[in-house]
Amino acid sequence: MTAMTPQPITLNGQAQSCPSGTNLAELIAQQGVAPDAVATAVNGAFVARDRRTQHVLQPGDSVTTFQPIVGG
Amino acid sequence: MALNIGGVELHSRFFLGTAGYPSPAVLQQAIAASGSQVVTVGLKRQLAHGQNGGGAGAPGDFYSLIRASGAHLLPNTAGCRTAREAVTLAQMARELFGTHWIKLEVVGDDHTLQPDPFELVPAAAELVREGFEVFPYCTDDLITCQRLLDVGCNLLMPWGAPIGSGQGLINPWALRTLRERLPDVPLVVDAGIGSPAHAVQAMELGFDAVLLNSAVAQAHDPVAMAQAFKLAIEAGRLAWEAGVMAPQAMAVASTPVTGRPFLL
Repeated sequence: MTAMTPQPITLNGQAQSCPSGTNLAELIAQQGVAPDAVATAVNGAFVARDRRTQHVLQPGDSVTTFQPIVGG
Repeated sequence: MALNIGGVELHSRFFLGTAGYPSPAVLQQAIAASGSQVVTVGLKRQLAHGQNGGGAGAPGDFYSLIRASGAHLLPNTAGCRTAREAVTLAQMARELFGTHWIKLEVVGDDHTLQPDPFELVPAAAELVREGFEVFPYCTDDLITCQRLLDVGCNLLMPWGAPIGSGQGLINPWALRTLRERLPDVPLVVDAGIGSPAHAVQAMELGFDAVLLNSAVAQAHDPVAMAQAFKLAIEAGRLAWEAGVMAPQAMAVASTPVTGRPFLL
């Protein structure tokens, strides 16, 4: 796969595509979400905020973002 | 005397949940009225494109006011079914909320929301290894509690009754047994408390704190109910420290008279 070729991923369960080579930090920024507003996981594994730039997304990756909510 | 959790001194023994309030403003007032120094929070998978609903659960609303309350945040792993899920969610919570405290919930049954000890214990072990202060939500089963301590938990949070049921302490014998067998372990009754009377009962059994949510959030006046629980928990604790008298089978006269008043 060459650079910038669209690749399929899912983001919070919804099918999307992103250019190959996109890292997790870039994907989050593209959503208009502040980096510290969410926690992230790829394929069910936690990816820490300071590791998002190094985490290059692969075709078929399932990205999940979590936000604070009320809780008991 | 203050309750000490991992070096953090707590003068309130009332841990309050933040879900289900009529509005963020009522939640804020209820936290203030409760005097709670520990409030529970959660994490939710985001919906696509920021469609996350509104109301008291809207992240911007509630999170800023909870921060402003100054209470310690206790994130939970609600909704997790496996140790792996719970560990991952705890890792996220630590980053998102900036705390190593985690209320570990791993549920094994939809009907009762009963904790699954076979997932809970390994999850607790892993989180302790990773440096978390684990607050395990567990049943009142003594052996499960002992296993949780074996893997490094410093406190336990056995249920009083199923989450949100408001049934009170359905097995006081088991809770009393936990207190007797684990005299030095901080014990928090978590879940099932419906009224301030239940909270008094838990504290009189010698529990160190009470965690509840629905009983306050679902009251007609959550702010007043938060204060009622505050007073109840303080009263119950004071009674435990003072020593409740042993029940007697028959009447025992309390007024020190000399026989009958008239010798007729």
